[in-house]
Amino acid sequence: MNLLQEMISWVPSLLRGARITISLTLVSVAAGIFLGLFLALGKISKNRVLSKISSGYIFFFRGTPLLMQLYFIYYSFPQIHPALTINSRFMAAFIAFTLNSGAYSAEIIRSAIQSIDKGQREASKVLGMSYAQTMRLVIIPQSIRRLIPPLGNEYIMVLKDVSLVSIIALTDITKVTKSLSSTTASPWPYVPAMVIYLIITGIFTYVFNKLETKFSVYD
Amino acid sequence: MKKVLLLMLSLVLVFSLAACASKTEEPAATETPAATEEPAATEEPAAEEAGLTLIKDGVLTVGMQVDYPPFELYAEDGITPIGLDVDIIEAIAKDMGLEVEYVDTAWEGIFAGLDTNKYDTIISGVTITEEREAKYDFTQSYIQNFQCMVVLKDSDVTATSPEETAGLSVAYQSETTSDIYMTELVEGGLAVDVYEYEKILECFSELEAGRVDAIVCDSTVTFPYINRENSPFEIVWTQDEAPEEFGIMVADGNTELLNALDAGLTKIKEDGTLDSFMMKWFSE
Repeated sequence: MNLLQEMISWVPSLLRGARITISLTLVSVAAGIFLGLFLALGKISKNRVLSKISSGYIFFFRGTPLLMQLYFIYYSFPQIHPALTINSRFMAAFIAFTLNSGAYSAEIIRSAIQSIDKGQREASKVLGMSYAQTMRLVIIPQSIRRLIPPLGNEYIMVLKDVSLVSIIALTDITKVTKSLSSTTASPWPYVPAMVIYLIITGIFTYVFNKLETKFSVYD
Repeated sequence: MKKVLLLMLSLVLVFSLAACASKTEEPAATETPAATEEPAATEEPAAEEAGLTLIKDGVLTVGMQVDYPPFELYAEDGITPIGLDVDIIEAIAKDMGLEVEYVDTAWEGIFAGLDTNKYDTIISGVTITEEREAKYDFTQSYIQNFQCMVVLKDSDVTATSPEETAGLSVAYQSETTSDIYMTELVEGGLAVDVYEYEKILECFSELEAGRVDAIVCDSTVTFPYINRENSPFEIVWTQDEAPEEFGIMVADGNTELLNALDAGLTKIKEDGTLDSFMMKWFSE
């Protein structure tokens, strides 16, 4: 078998790993955006308690390493109390990545919301809309256009962060690559692995560019 | 305001560049105080040293995954390696008139460090196998070891050997002889769920948390876990027919160092030092 054939023979295993990588990225960031929206609104809210809690959450999850968070949630929780044991590795990773990505998404969303012209809020007030209505109907829809590039970036970053799951024995692309490399005693599995990552990143980039174009129709 | 910010930003930039520039490339090396005491008190060290090419003069740089009790682990201060392998290599190095520096390395890919000159030798609970001998050189063996299977004492796992683990989940440390053993079983068609971990400690955490049904690992590494007070673990299978031997590893062709290490090992075997180390780490 020549090198190219060997690399192609590794692709099926790598693709099995890719399923975990892609699915974990998509669901974690999606859930994170949902979480981030509430955190962002909480942070800018006039309610002091809500604001402090949201700020504190964001500070904590951005200020500690993701690796540590993942390790703590998976390995340390059971040691604190058996009831905290998360049996599914995927679920534990999903929780860790959502909690973490949510903090970053919160800041992205918050800055997009706050970047909308103050005049919009004033006009809504004049029209008699409540704060909730203003947010829901005027501010947030307009901020979506500004969210797309940084959120797309968040997806691409988490895609790479997911490679950390090898520490909890979850077989993503990176873990499969490391296993292949050690069983074949060869450095070459990294080549098709990196190609796969680049393809996924390329697809994400393409999708987000299309979304951005679509939403900038009104600019 | 703008000017102040600009000034602060440029100061941060300057400080970080300065920090990068002054940091010399160092692996996580720790020096041991014990090795610096007396120069060698035995007859031949000067002659042996003369033939040795070491990465650092006067120092035996040792690659080790310091996470494999009782062979290597960190003392309570969190920075000093201790363990059977540590005692052995320091005794040998002392006779050679060398200090010891440890390079704590992840187990995955630790052997490659010999080829890339990250360290002179590896002593880290390394089993002597044919595949490894083909690429590297080993000294004589210094301890025997067996593959074994560990389960929780109060579990309802009825498997009495790895071959009977179909339908169960088994953990092991990646790139170990346990890995090789289980992978062969899986490739031979055994329907077992296997999970690879980077550290043996993680395998035991997983077993304790109930996330896997069994661990396949070295009998010698189970020692501290089985003998812990109120240990939840028990060994249900030991591969008695196939003992493994641990050896000290050097790069292929590094004959002078190999001979020096071998001579050192022979000496501590003959004068009872090795036995005393074994007693220290393997009796409870």
